[in-house]
Amino acid sequence: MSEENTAIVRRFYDEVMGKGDFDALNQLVAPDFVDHGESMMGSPQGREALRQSIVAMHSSFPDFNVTIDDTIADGEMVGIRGTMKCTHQGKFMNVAPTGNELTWKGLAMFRVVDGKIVARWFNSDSLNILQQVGLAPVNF
Amino acid sequence: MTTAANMDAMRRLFEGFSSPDVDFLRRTVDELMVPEFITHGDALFPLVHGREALKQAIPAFKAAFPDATATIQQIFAEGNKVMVRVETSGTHENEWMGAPGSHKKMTWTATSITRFNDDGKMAERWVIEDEVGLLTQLGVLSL
Repeated sequence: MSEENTAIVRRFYDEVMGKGDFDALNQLVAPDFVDHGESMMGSPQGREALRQSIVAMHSSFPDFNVTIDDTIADGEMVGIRGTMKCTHQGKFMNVAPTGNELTWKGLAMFRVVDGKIVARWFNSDSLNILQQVGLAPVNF
Repeated sequence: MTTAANMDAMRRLFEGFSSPDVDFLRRTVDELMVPEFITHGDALFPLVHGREALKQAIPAFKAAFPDATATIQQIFAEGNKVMVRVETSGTHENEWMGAPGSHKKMTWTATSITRFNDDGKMAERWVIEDEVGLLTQLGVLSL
């Protein structure tokens, strides 16, 4: 079961987060998806809110992609350690596009039930993103 | 070591973190981690070599948040790794990240993957904290 569930999460990153394939989103994510996010990225509740957050992300970063560095899985739970990369081509948090390549790390857990992602818990290195677009200092 | 034993070790680490007794936390770190433990962190603490560096950071953090506790929201394991999502909360009593003590209660999350060695000791950890969340609550970052 964990191999199948890991494959579902890999597809989510590749097809939905990477390619913006919303047919795949409907296949892979339950309508009442529950998100447990973090401060900058928020916690979009439900598949529709998740879709909107991905649309917004692709408008800032059309070439957004995730490299999966490690996976860990047990039963319904799948964990991912990943590296996100994109080019700042659209407005992001009111910062005009810089054309800079951005990269940051993320850790995410997914609960997969009957072939669909029903919940996610994640932390992304959002401070790093803000530093790269000039919205946060390097030192505090 | 079994995944059950490794998960128990993670729980003990967070119990140690949640204790007001700084020496207890230091002893817990020594029991559970190898001396050359490596932390792969995030923007504020990208890489920390060794458990001594972690222990050295304890007194300042506990002075800033004396009642800090960590609650495990999710934990699971496969092979020699354990993944955890925790919520830390504490009252900001003294200076932290440039913000003088505000006496406000603060909460932030973190996710980590910890690799255990064959003796059941923690060898390496990848962790990301909600630094934006904490810095915003501290008033030193505004978006």
